[in-house]
Amino acid sequence: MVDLSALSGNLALLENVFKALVILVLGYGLSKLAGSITQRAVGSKVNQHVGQISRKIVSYVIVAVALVTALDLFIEVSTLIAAAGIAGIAIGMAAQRSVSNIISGLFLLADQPFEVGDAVDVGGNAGVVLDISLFSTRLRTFDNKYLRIPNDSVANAKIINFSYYAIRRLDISVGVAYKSDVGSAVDVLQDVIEGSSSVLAEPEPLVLVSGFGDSSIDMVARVWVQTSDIFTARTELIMSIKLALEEAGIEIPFPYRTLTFDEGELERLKK
Amino acid sequence: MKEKLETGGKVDVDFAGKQYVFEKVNPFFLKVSSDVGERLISIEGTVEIRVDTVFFEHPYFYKWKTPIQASPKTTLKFILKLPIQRKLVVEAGKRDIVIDSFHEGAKKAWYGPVSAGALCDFVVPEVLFEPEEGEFANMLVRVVNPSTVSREISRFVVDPKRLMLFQAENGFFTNKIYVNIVREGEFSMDYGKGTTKAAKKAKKIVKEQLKSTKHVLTKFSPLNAVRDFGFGD
Repeated sequence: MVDLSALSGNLALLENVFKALVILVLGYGLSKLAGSITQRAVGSKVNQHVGQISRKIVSYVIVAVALVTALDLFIEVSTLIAAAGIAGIAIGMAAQRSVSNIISGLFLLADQPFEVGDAVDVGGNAGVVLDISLFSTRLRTFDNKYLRIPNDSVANAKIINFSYYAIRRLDISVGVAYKSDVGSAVDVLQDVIEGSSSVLAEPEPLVLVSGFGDSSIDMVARVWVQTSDIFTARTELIMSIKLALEEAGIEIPFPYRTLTFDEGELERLKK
Repeated sequence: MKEKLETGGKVDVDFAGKQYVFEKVNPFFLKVSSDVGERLISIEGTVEIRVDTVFFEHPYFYKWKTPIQASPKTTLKFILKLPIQRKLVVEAGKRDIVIDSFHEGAKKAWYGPVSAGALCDFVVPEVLFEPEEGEFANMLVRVVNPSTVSREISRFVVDPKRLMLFQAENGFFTNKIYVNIVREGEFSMDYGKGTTKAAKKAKKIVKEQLKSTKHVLTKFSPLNAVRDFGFGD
């Protein structure tokens, strides 16, 4: 004797399994499609990185909705959600730091203090930004180390972005001996600056006589250079300034002290 | 300059003081030798070697050391030297390969506030009295002072995307540039559509790249010191 009620129950279960599979497959496909559309739309309007994050968020939301809809065919989802609520509190307590990282990651994406490829200093750690994910920011330090910083630390840290502006001011300090002609020294510095191809003609470079130092009259050459040229420009200018001052017979002094002893003390030291 | 090269052919080119030897070693490869070294380029069929005359990639930033005074309700007309770039190009079918490029004067300048502006090529204005042939173009500048008071001009920026280049029998010429003095340190630029009658048998070789707005406002902050010291925009 065939148990009709059991058979119909099995058929209903099979039907639900089929429906759930269709929902999951469609949901997965839709998540991919919507994610890629979102990435393209956001990426072209904001930047590629925010586009990638948006794609992930849209995909996860669609997959979650599909999963809940599929589950609804088998169990009472509202009961599950209520249970999940209690479990969520427990998990939330445990995952407090991770949630904080995600929220900080979203803030970083909205605030955009830096982008992938920028040279930055995050709380004393300097390097090039490799990636900004929801949980962490990854840097390659200038001495080639891989550094992963949790986003909540990044969000609370002091950030210096060296690549933010295309040009930067470079100050080169130099001192000349008190006996030197300061006017000639200024002219020498101006000639060096004018002859340097790294120094921008505008904003105009300045040579300032900044003060009376312990052993020298101090001067500062304030020039603007392209951010990408800053290290080569600094080296080139320091070398050229030293050479030009030497050629002009202007001394760059170094601190020295003259010690004077009275006769008695001198005799005592000699013994 | 234009040289055609077929398989087995060889040609010597003197470009910006450097010697280049182009050799079509077989139907598929072109060998380019210079003092720097050798390189092989995969090109099929006949190739053409030419030198292109083009504008710089960045805007031109002109700045006089001593500002020029423009009297009330006047238009100053002069020709300025506009440096141009030369490119050594290999052409094969629809492909153009730049082998080398050369332009004089590597000094750059920044136009606009230090926090947001544009990188330009710096040019010290040099007034020409007669059109000349050379490694530069004759830029036809008109400085317009519509106001009733005398105004001065010390600098302006020319966008190469709005420039045209004409090759005439007596040199290279650009389209006319109008620098309209709006107020102290502020100019608007207009770019004309044609060149001068002084250009004999002029042939356009570089078209303007931007067709849209040709009226551009140029503004230099009167608070230069503030900007130069980096204390503000």
